[in-house]
Amino acid sequence: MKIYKFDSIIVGGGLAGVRAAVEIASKGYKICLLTLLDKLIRSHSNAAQGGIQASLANTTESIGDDWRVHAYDTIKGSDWLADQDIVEEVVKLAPFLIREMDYWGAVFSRTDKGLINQRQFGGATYPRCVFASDGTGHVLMNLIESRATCLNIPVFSRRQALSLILDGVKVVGVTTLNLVNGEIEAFLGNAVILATGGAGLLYKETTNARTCFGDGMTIALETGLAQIGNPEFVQFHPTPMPPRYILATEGCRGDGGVLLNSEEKEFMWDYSSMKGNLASRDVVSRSMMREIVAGRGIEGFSTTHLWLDIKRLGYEHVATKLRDVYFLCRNFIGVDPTKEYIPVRPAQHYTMFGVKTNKRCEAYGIQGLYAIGECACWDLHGANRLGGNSLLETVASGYIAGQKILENLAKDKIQICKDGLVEDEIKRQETRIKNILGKKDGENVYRLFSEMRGIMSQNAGIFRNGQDIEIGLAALNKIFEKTANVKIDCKEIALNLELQLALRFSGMAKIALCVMKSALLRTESRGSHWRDDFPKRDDKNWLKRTLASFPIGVQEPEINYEPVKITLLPPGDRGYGEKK
Amino acid sequence: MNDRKLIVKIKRISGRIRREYFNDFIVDEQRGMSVLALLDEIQTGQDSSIYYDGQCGCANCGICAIKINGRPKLACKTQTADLPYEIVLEPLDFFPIVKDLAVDKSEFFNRLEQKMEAWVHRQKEFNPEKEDLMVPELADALYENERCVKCGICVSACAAASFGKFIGASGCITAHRFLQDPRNEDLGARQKLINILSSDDGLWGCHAIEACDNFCPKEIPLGRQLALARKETLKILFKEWLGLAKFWRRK
Ligand SMILES: Cc1cc2nc3c(=O)[nH]c(=O)nc-3n(C[C@H](O)[C@H](O)[C@H](O)COP(=O)(O)OP(=O)(O)OC[C@H]3O[C@@H](n4cnc5c(N)ncnc54)[C@H](O)[C@@H]3O)c2cc1C
Ligand code: SF4
Ligand code: SF4
Ligand code: FES
Repeated sequence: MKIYKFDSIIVGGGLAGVRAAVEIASKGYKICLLTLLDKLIRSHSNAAQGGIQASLANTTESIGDDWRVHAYDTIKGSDWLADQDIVEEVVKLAPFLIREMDYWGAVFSRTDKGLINQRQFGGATYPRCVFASDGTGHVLMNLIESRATCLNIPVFSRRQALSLILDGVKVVGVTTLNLVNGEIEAFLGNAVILATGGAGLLYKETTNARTCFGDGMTIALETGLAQIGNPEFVQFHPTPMPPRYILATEGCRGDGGVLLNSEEKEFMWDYSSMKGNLASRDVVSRSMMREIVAGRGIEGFSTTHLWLDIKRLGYEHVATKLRDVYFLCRNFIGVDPTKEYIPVRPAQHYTMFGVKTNKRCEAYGIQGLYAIGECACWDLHGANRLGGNSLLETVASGYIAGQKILENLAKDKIQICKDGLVEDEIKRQETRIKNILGKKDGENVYRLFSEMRGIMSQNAGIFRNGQDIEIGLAALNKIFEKTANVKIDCKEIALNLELQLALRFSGMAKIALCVMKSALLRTESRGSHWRDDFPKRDDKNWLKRTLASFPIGVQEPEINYEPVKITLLPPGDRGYGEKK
Repeated sequence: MNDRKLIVKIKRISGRIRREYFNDFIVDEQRGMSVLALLDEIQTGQDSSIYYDGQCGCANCGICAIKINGRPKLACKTQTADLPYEIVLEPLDFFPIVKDLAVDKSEFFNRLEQKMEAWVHRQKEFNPEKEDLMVPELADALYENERCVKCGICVSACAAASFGKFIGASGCITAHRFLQDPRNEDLGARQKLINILSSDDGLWGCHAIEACDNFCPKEIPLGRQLALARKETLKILFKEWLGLAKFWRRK
């Protein structure tokens, strides 16, 4: 039985997790990072192309921008569900965080004057998206890993966190499966930070990578104590490229690219008279689906799609400023975007929901537990996230959680927990694995997984309605029942992809149920959550945040709500001129 | 081509006593199928004991590099349509094998990053109000080398790396990136980079045959980037030498 002790444990080696680790380690505390992958830079943050928002206001086009405008844009984008205190704190921090990363050596694209350059993104009043060509996430992961190397932060790679070790309502550590040797280990610390990223794999068509299972959310939910905030809010990006839904960054439209239908008409102005191609993602995705439903889509690339035209930007621009898109188009879908249109169709992209925390990233319901990055919902994004705000969220929440933990570590350093607690939890996980491996017949986990993803895309997708959701809920319940009866073919403990999925699957099904049920209950349309049967936003009844939990022994999530505080900007029109 | 049947031979390696053999699979080819998707098809549908690495699916994370019909490539970027119907998949050369097609590249890269202190060493104070200026051309030049995803393909394709401690094309361009960055202000750190680059483990160990150049999946022009690094290193060494010569003359 391997037991490691640190001051704090960070589960997740993406931008959020490593940023927090850097904050804590720089003050000399002992911290460790756990990741499913072999190296920090492999984390999904790496795939972010477009950029990170901060109101630097240092180019001629962005004069007049400041934290207030950034805050207003964020709140409008969120359709007023965001926590305005948190919005204010984060957008105020943004320029500092960007300049700090630049100081550390980030390679941001520059203006002619040598200042940090910024580009336009959907839903933003000014061009304030700081970028590094279109490999922003990659550059930031390089940077943050270089900081971790410099501070000598231990990284435990190829580890799958399985559960939280609780002492009453206090977390004292996590158990993990060492993927390479199959051992169950425990990592103990005064604080546990969940930074495991989003849960895009709940959906069949997604831009997310293969580790976006939402493990942090599931292990928190499975304690029965934590809450998932706003599970009904899932973002669909307008411009992934079928058939595999690799993303063409929003920067394409930010730089002047336009969406076209089968008649090669720029249809977005018919749906959003004010912002056209640059309306927020929920509006653009819905408009595109309406075009497709109206029969103005194009058959091909294994689906019905629309076109994205960036060839009008010219070869020079595409080959330099949108170089990764150029690269992806040529290599992955065989299209030359300097000469041809790019096929695009909306797909799942981002989970606004996550482990519900307060302003200091402390999870509801469990002491010592923190959640940051896409895995969390402290509520910066509300009902819809603005492009470029989630990279910002990763570094901001990493920084804020780091500060909070430092504060606590300075107060008490000794960790006392009841005898046998850790050993019991390790044994519990070992038994769980033994049971799964020992099962002779039962359900195939890959089949259940793919069924669940299909249901989520079908019944909790871009357009929702009561009837479909009811059907989805019933189907999910069936799948959830079957999760107890999962059988796997490969019987090894180590290096077994099937076992890795089986261990997280029942938790994932619980999250799916939370999404479906809260989508059913929210009888309005707000941000990314669209109900055909309730097409209007209803502030009187629904200006409130959803809190879902899954008490132990219960078959269905419990849904509660908390009010939204309005401090900066009262609810109003989003100003996109969306025709419904 | 849509009804092609692919014959896929996968090298299996596992256990403490390394057993090695090939397993054959027959798979119906699908439109737009990548080798990574092909592996998924086999793993989820035919034999779930196969192990391989994959993450981003879009040539961004660098984890999925394997040997496809003898050539080192990214599984996610390689389309089955570009391959003959018989496909042989093996793990990347050079790196220690984890299981089947998965190898451990992290040890190689992490040790390298430690050794050359691959981070920017600042001495100036941080000013949160204003960033340091940098001409866009320099930012672009740094970005070119930053694009490396540490997939290990150049290292595994390189004859020089297969023995000794040669840091590979990836190591050389990364070292050059930190040398080029004026924000890396610590002279000791810069000297360390120059020492590595100008040793047999670095650029002096590279035979400039450019096997790496053809294979880099991010299309980094490695031949050119290595030549740039060589030029800069020589320039710095020459300056050092001039300085020394002057110093001795004055004496
Ligand atoms: C294609 C794409 C493009 C994007 N572009 C942008 C953009 O331009 N601008 C922007 O602001 N946002 C963008 N986003 C969103 C943004 O990239 C993510 O929200 C953000 O990077 C999430 O970072 P994170 O640190 O929370 O998680 P991640 O980077 O996903 O990291 C999660 C980490 O957790 C680890 N992990 C997961 N489960 C476990 C477990 N059980 N045990 C141990 N470790 C575990 C993983 O190994 C990984 O290291 C984009 C997203 C996608 C999909
Ligand atoms: S230089 Fe190219 S081939 Fe070498 S590790 Fe980097 S991305 Fe891979
Ligand atoms: S040029 Fe040849 S020797 Fe030099 S790094 Fe590339 S493959 Fe290796
Ligand atoms: S899966 Fe990330 S590079 Fe292939």
